[in-house]
Amino acid sequence: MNKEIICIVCPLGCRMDVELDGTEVMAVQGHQCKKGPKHAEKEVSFPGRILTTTIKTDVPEMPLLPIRSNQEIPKDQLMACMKEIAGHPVKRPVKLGEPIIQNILGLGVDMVACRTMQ
Amino acid sequence: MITHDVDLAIIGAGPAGMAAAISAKEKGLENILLLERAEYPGGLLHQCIHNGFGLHYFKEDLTGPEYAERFTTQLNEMDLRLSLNTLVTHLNPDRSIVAINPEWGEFEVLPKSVVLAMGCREKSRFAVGIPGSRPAGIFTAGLAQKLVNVDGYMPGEEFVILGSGDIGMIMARRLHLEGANVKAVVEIMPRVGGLVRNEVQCLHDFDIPLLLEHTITEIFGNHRVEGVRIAGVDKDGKVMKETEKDVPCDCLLLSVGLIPENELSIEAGIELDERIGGPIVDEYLQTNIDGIFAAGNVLQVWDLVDNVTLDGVKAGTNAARFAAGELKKQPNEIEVIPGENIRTITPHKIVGSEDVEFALRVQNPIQNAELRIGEKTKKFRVLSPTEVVTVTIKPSEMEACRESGKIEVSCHERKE
Ligand code: SF4
Repeated sequence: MNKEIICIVCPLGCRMDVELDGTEVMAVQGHQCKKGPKHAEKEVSFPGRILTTTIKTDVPEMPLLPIRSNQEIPKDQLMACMKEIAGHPVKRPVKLGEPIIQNILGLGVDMVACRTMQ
Repeated sequence: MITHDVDLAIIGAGPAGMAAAISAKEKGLENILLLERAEYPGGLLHQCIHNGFGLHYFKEDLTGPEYAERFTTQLNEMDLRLSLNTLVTHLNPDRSIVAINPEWGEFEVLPKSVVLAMGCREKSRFAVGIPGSRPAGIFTAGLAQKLVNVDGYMPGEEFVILGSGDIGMIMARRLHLEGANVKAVVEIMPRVGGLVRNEVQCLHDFDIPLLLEHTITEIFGNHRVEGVRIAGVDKDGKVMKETEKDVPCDCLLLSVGLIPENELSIEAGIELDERIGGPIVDEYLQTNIDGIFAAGNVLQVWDLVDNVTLDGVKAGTNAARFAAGELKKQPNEIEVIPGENIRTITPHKIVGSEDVEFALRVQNPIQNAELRIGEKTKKFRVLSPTEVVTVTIKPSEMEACRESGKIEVSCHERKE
């Protein structure tokens, strides 16, 4: 199977044609340096993203607290994480970096606060 | 009217203003006043909840609020004076400032030096001239970002986004994650306006349709947006009527560019660079008025906040040096001339005899590029208009230019 993967390591943004056998990269074409195939491999084996979003608070002057995942979350779990976060309003005070939801959906990743809320 | 005599007044406490305040204080300046319109410092960083900030400056991948808190904490620790909810209404050629806030009413600031750090604002529908009625539901992407990320309000359910700048693409993802239906991101150019990273991680990741070489020719709806007409454009940017199709939506976001916010600068008689929209500055970031400096997006719209911070550091440091009488000018200035394939460049002139850091954007993407600044050349594998490039030149490399009073900057493809 062939798949197009765009390398995002530098602004050139090479469009790579990646030949796959399951989740194994067999061949890569269209890259202009060796970082391309490396990026392709990661995108195929673990396509993860940092999730950044907000969570409701009990503070009228600051109705939302920005939060982020402290590690990458598998791409196909992002929407499920969003649903999970929607059910958890947070109370003050909160410190920067404090875990707000631990081990979200059993993924081994914490959602942590991106700012202090007094 | 209350009057404040200060060494340095900084207009705007976003990333540029905060960095300027901290650096000026570190340089020994004591009496500093930061004037901020909003009820908190940090500027736009609070609504930019995505990550990607600080990779250069802190060597860490931070979100906007995290990046802001590093600086607000420092402002507190250094006991810098910050006047919030404060709107500057006038800036005069003698550097005096008139401002208003709920605590002091209308008041005057008499500073020895000023740093302009007002940032930039978004172009509106007016700037792109889309005909149609004026229904509710048309927002700039940054305003929608504030509503969604700070105020907790979804401005609509079905979105079309015009323009593929970074804010537009980041909002497409954000709205999708919040459960909205983003029907298309429409871009008139043959490539996205923002970073490739955002094209991949904001649009492709969530299968959000990207229509390149397309534009919006009409907005439907009287009270509320009911849809838009999207059409392809040809090579000359002309609309191809036969490709028009109507797409229902209740919200249209505009991400069609940013402009430096310089009403106060104009009032003070500060000369602007027509192409960039920001003040004309020398390598100290000083404007044509002695003691008034400019930093960050008010000067030119930067790609990364890290660069805005560095700009603020430079302006704050030089404002402190000015107040101490340390900024030296040479008798003959060197004028910076943008040549082939240079879209924007700062500084515009060189007045001193220290290292000069140029910051520029190219006109078109170039591979195997050679950047020429006066006698000096520098090679790049790729240069893209989405990125600001910085190059430092030593005084010894500008000897010839000092004679001629000119330094030309251009960018070409390398002939191997
Ligand atoms: S393959 Fe190399 S040149 Fe191409 S985008 Fe990736 S890092 Fe840049």
